[in-house]
Amino acid sequence: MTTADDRALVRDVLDAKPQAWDRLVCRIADTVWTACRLLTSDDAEARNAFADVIDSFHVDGFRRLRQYDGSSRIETFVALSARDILAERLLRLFKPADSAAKGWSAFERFFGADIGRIIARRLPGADREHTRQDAYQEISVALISDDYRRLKAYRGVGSFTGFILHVADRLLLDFIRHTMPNRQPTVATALSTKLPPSLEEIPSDLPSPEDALLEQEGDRLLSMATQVLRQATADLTEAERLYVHIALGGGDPIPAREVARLMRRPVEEVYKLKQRVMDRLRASLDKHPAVKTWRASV
Amino acid sequence: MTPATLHSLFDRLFGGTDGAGRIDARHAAELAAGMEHGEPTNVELDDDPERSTALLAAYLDGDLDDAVQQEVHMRLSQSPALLHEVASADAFLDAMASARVAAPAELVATIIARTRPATVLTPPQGRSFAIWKWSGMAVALAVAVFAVLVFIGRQSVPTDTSVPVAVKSVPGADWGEIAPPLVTKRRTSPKVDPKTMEVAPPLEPAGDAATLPLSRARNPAFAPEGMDIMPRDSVSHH
Repeated sequence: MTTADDRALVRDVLDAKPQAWDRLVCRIADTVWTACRLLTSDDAEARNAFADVIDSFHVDGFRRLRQYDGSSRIETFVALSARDILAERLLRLFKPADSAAKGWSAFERFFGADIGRIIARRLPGADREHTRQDAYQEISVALISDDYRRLKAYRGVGSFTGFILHVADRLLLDFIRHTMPNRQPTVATALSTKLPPSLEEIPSDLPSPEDALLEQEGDRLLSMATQVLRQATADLTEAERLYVHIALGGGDPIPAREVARLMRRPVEEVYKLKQRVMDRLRASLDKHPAVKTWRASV
Repeated sequence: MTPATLHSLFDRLFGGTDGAGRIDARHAAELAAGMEHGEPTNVELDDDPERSTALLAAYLDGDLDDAVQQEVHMRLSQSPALLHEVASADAFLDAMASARVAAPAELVATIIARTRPATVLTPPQGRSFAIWKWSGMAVALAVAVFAVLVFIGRQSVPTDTSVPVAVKSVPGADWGEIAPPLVTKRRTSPKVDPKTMEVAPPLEPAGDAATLPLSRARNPAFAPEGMDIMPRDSVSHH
């Protein structure tokens, strides 16, 4: 079926034409079922979820269905709607206190992959597997703490999924800032940690005076970099600014094809975009008064 | 950290080629946190929240024109939560494509049977009043016609105009006397002989006076209830 056919089918449902609802449910059933299987833990739960999703398309005079205007494939619209509906259903699990344990299990099933993807993006590399696991644990504990205070802080503005993933990312940033040093270890420090400690020379956990100075300097420089970046991005176009935000989400340079995919623009255009952004940032960096002052001081 | 580190950080974060190598996670995290400071936490993709899912679907399908896509880019650059939402939805659609399974047929049938809209028996709101109004008028008209027909029917019962419609009992008559059956003379048009063109005399009932009904011999006496009641004469006298 074409998008026009699907649009016509939805119109038939809204016009209460005979058999239209039956045909629509048959048309979207596989998509809804696949979404339910992906986002729930077992077959029984998927069946309940399937019924809830179809009900949600049906209630309030087909309120959700009414939004389909044929500007996308119906599979995409239905899949994303099903995801929204299941996210709202998940949120309801946390309302009564006694179902919170079940809610957490469902929560992990729903958001686990996304949180894992965000962590892997910010902490890439095979050597960081343990750090990633620690980060996941840290985020989970923070989300559970205070009777799911952070989850319950959602006020219904914007998507629940976006809200949760943003909270998880902020927790991850806190984790990285608190657990990872703001400098590369000096040669002396690296060597001292590799030497077998003698009884007289047990290395201290406290940074050396030299390390402390480097830490302070690093913090000051990062603060300056943030100022430059904020100021520079204010003058960028929407697409360029979006590119900066996407790039800031990773611990590795994000491949152009991934940026292109998120921005729904051709890869060649993203390469040009990247070049323009870099030129603007270099210019801003060199002209910024704080950077000039800082250069003069070193 | 040195000035070269700062340039390098920017170069690698924003201008790095694919596979250029790792960025200091702490530096990237600090910059990301600093950039997010003061940004709105959560915004909708569309001014009308109900439309957000449809717009997101159109964006991910790549079906938006440049102007609308630019608007979406602006919102994504303003809201980290929205950017996460888009990335998550994109990953979800990927997972959907690779894990597509058919829904159990019996489940679909059950759900359809349960959610199928009821057959519409009543017309839409705007027409119902008119239908009720016209059907009411039709019923009223039918009743009125029926009443007229009944009335006319009663009025048109063949009667002998020489006989009073209601006859009062003769003073002194016994109320126990039953009135004779009402027999009326049929109105017949005088017949014309086609040959002579003379009017033929009216036909007289067969038989003699002895066989004629009593009504013809004397005025019938009706019961006081009225003419619908069987005349007293038709009942044998005691």
